[in-house]
Amino acid sequence: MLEGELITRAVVNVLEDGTFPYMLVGSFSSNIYGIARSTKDADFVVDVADRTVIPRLMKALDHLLEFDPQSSFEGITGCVRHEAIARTYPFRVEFFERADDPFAIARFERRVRLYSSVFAREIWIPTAEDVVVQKLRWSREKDKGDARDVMTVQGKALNHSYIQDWCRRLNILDRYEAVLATVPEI
Amino acid sequence: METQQDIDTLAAAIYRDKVLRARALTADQKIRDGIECFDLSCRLMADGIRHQFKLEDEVSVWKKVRERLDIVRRLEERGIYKPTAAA
Repeated sequence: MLEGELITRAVVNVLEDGTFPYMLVGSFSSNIYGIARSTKDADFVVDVADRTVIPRLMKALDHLLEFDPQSSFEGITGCVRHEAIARTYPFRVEFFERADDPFAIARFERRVRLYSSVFAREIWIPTAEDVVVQKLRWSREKDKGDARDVMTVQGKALNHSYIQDWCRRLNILDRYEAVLATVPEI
Repeated sequence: METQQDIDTLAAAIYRDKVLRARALTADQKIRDGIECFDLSCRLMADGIRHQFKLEDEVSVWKKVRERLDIVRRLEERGIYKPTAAA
């Protein structure tokens, strides 16, 4: 088993066994629904209504991860990030506190269970539609590429009305339409 | 000589292959592909560092791998994150 898999599995086990409310996002989730690309970190969204969640996670993962004592505020979607790097391998794990905006709340409430043999258990991930919307919010070139890949691979299975509705509410409908224009019929 | 149209046609065919391959893979296979890609890129970086710096000490090699990944990360995240109040 590769180090990145071992590390992510260990983090998932702590989250699941500790019943921390979370979902696995970022390139893991876009890989699941789209076209796989290199995964240099594991990103998790964690519900921090219970303010002890992050300190408890840090304590439980201290043997595996070195946490940056300085958290940071992510200015695109407005949430707090806690970064860590594996002690034995250059793989990063990031914990994003679930933001309080309507989309962040809806995305978390809509998370789904996926059984994965990589983690040898069920894990929480966002829906494909929510991956697309979140990627469009970020809209760096690689995010637009990921959004395009998910839209193309998922094809007719995707609920475009849902995506359009959120893009309208988030004032990013132009980004959705620009990426949609690049999606081929396959 | 290839025209832009030739290149665009080839790019579209390659993308189509990627999409069809992705549809045929399970979620687990794609999760593992992502992890394997990163691992391969790290090992290639390490090989390059050993060659460039004539290093034999693995701790030093992997320290440089982390430094290079940090550079990429700082470039990707430029302007996006600001420190919150110290933890």
